[in-house]
Amino acid sequence: MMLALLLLGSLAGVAAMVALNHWLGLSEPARLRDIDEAVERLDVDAVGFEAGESVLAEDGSAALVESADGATIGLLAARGDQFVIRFLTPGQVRAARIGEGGSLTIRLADFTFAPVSFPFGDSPHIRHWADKLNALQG
Amino acid sequence: MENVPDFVRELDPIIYAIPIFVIAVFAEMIYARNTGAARFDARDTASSLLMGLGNTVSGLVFAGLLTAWFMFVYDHRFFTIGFAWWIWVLAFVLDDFVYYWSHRLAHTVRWFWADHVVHHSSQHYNLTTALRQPWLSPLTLKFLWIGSAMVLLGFHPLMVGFLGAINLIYQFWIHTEVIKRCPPWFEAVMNTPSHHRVHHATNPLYLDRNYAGVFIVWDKLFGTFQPELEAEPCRYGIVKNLGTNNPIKISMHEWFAIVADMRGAASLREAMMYLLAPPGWSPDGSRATSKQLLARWQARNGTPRSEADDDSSTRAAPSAAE
Repeated sequence: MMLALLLLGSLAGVAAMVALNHWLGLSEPARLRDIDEAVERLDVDAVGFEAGESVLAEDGSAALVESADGATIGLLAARGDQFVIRFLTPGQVRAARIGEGGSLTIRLADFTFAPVSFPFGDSPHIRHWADKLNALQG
Repeated sequence: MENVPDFVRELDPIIYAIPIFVIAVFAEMIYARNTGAARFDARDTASSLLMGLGNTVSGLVFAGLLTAWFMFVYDHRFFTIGFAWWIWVLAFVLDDFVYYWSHRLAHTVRWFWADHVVHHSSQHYNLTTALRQPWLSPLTLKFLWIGSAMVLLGFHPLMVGFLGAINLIYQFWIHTEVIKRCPPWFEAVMNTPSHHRVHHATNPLYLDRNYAGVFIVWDKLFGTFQPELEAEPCRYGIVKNLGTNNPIKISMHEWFAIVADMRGAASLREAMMYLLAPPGWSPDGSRATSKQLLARWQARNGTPRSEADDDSSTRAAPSAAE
């Protein structure tokens, strides 16, 4: 009984701290200024990344940058106020599907990386990138 | 039971510290709101706190097993050391020494990293990060050997447990960006927010540095000390950051990755390397260990010079001119 009360009290404490965090608005969603910032982040993360073809999400929430040698596609995706990066090679993509409103949903064979919806807006290149990503399916 | 002091039997320091933790987190959030000196994300905060709560529950689940083991070891101890006041001081320092090596192993052997990675899995560095703790630590079996060393020597398990809790409580306050630097004498001897920021950073220069719990002197003695440099602001998290805040995935991801790697191994040796080599090891070099990342970074930025001539273990960022 005492243990159950302690657990409930702790859960209430956790909820209060998360609520305060939310209420204070301590973070802004991460957004990329431009494709150069995406390339720079990939370069820092990989300690060396030569960029080739690239595309930036309409709202700056994600970017895809192919390496100059075409061996890898660097994916940056906003998660809260941070970016998470994956360097995609064959076998790492589960599916890239074009959705309504010009968005590309990317699913990876990586359970620590939730699917990312990549808004292309009216970019005509969505099919091109979907094909590139699907070529990396396992 | 031998004459164990009552307070050791009856007092759990962590329970008493929890209200202080909560107040400190509230204070850091409000300070962050007013100054921007710390960063929080509500989902990240929720997972860190739930990981902390799960760690406490797991501690209760495993308590019986661990108590039985440590009492068994104590029954076969080399000496009976007792509870004199100076023994407490000695035990605290010794426990911190053991912590240093245990922590160093947690970063350099993937089997142990699979557990400890949980604590490093946030890209934020605030007081809630201190509470982001693993759930399955006993499964690493570290308690059977390095965790039993002091008990086998003759320190009472309750004393070791009590001092371990004090050590962890000390480490809570150093998980913050709010405190920039402490007085020089304190920075020289003790683990501080600045030293521990380096430990949580993924910059190649900072990887696998500053393993200390309470006394930073261990890192200085054993060649793993790295001061925080203004030219190299910390980027927090792990080399391959997680794109999830799900506590179960955070808790299990590296264990699953080890199993997947071992299943795909071409030989028994390769399988054992996936298990016991440093995190990032791969047979074809397609991934990178901390040392490989540092070598790559140094090759790109020029050979680092040491800022402190009297401490050759200290790495320094190359100057802009280099």
